[in-house]
Amino acid sequence: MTDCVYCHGTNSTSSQFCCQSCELLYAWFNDHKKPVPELNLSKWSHYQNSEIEAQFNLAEVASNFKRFKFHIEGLQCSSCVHLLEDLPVFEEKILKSKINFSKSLLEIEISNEMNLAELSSIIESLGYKPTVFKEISEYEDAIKQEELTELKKIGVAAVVAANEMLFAVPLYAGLKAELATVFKWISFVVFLPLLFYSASGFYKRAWSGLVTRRVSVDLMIVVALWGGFVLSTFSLATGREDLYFDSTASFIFLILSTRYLLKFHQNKFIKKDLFVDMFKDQVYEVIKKNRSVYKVFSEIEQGEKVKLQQGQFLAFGAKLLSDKCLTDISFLNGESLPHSYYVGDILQAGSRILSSSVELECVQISKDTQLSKTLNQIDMLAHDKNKYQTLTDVISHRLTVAVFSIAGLYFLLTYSDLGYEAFKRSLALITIACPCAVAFGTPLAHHLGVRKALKKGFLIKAENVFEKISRVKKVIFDKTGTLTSSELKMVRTFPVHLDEETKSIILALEKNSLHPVAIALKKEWSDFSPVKLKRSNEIVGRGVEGEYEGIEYQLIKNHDEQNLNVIQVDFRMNGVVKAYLFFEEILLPESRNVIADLYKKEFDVMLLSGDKRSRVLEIARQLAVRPAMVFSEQSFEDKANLVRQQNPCIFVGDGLNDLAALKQAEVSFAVRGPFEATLQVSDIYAPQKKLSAVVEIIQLAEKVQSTVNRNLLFAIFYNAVGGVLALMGFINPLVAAILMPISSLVITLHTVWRLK
Amino acid sequence: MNLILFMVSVAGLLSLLFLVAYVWSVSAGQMDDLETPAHRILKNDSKIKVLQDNKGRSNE
Repeated sequence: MTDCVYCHGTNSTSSQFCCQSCELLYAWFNDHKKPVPELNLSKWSHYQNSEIEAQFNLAEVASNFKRFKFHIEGLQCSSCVHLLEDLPVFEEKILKSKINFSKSLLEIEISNEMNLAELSSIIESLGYKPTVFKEISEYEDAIKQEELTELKKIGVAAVVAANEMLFAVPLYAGLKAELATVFKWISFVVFLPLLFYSASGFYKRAWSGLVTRRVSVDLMIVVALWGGFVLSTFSLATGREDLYFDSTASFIFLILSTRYLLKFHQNKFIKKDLFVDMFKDQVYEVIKKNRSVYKVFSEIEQGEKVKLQQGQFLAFGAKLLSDKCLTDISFLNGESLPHSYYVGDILQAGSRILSSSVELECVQISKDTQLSKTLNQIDMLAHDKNKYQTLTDVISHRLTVAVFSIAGLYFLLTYSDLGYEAFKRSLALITIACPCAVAFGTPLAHHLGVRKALKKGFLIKAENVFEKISRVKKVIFDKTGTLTSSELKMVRTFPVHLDEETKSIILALEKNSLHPVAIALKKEWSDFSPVKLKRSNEIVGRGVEGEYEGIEYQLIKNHDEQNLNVIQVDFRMNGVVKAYLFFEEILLPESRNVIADLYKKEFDVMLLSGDKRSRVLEIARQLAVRPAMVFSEQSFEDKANLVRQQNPCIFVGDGLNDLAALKQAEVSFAVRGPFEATLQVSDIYAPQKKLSAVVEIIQLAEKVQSTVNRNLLFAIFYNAVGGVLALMGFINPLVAAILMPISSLVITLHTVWRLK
Repeated sequence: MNLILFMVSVAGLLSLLFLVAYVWSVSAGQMDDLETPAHRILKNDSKIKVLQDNKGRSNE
């Protein structure tokens, strides 16, 4: 791996530059070549329609500019920020451009002379994948407001803690007389904003915990906070020396800050309707009385005639009106080969059109489709999955209950003998044994783990994933698109050497086909040019045929392939087989290493696929996976059921066709797929399709978990010793309030040191 | 004593001032994005300035 020539950042590509922006900026600065975007409007043609565009325009009505917000995939380094924010420099119609790197958002203003299609095309030409979206939802707005309030609370807590320290130091140094009283009263007043404003979230959570009969860590924090406040106020009123405003304020500030850091990460992944999310940028051309109208998927009604372009996903059930249509249904069943449909056939929602342009009639509106129902179920499941309890939750909950019980019992039993001292000792116990070190040591470890993963290029949504991985000893792989690419490769022919004319005839037969067999042939024989056939046509569901110089040629897929581990295609001349062609799926080069590494780590490896058994077994053989661990001919639902039965397991799949299975897995790992939808169902998402990430993430999880376990051991030991000393009267609440942050500091430093 | 009390009130006022400034910056959205400004600062803008100047001149 070398550094990028332009930005000197880590470069994981095979070129000199880490991204296209670096390449363009390098050319601009060194060779004076200004980046000139090439416009390819065909892909974005639906955005040329002003009605559609208006739906995404965030500027006020009748403004002299348009404003759009995009989610940008492919942001790599500072150059991406520079290039995208410099768009107004090299395109006059772009007025303003502002990027939010951490959220991958681009806000852009353009003049009314430009349209959304041109803008999208410009961004795409710079090497990014733009997804325009509509106005911010109320839900996102509410989350943002909550984030702002949290930040303000932390600010107030910081000011309070700092000022409390300012007045506490002279008192510790022995300040006496009048000034000491003034300082003590100032400490009291300064403490109030923290007590009533910054800490308000703890009260709410402690109360909701009580309502559901759960003793939460928040309750302990509230007791320590109010105990410290009441005790200090009592001392202040009766002229004693025990003031704990400073330590209590620092304690609250520390907890608020660490919790905010965590939340910041979690809120990056907002929940939305999966189905809407998946099809939100799909706009369909509806033909009404020979006129084209553009509609988004949810507006398409039954009986309407719709024209779909190559690459579009079908969001509704439809009857084919065109003669023929080639579709990719890997989203629905995971099978890698395309399917042909003929006039009158019904196409399911989720199919992707591979033919150049087809006409369909809507027979089932989007929300009634099976796909929509499945995605809704996934949404419901997401709720259950969040109930997962981590080991830390369990420990901190039990510790809280135990500490409260001991402190309460101690107070009741010793109050008659010790009086005020009994209260002080109980409070010292609660403060020192407060499982905050656990409560924020673990999240911090997870947070650092997530950041580390992010730097390596994969996103982790659920932070408890590290703990879950450490309990799993089984990895299930989806074959197609995960271990293999969706392309085919010609492995051999029979006879071994085919003459030039045969090759040219075969190429001519496949000339207009998009089938993977055709693509593989064109790639393999790129040096040969096809002959000109007198006629050629497709044989329904079997292959192609054509006539050349009076001879009838056929290229037919051999369906008797049950016992073969490759795909066989027969080349026939006047009905007599003249040659056989054999194709194989391409195994990704890194697959073998990944599986070998997993075996070394003593993981069980299973293979799942929608394809025929013989073909999956061949892949399994190459990867050294035992046949007993291979499951073939699995549908969308079969995969989900199997994964559920095999839990706890890590499921590695492709976000496009394995959404349901990903949802079921204890730990779900997606290697690609529609960005937001995949992110919602998977715990880990590696958009760059790096399979080695599976091993890397397991190693990272081991490290994070060992850090967490050491922290837990330390905290339990520290609390046990500290608790006993507190009850014996060796530690008063002031010392406890100093010792508590020290234990937190030790845990924090240890965590940062291990995971830096 | 008076001097100390004066300084204490100044310290109090200063912290209040910072708190107000902080709350304002949070509300104004300055904390929304903490990553992009770090990238922006690395920009090599000499060439861009030339381009912008040229653009300005051509508009005149």
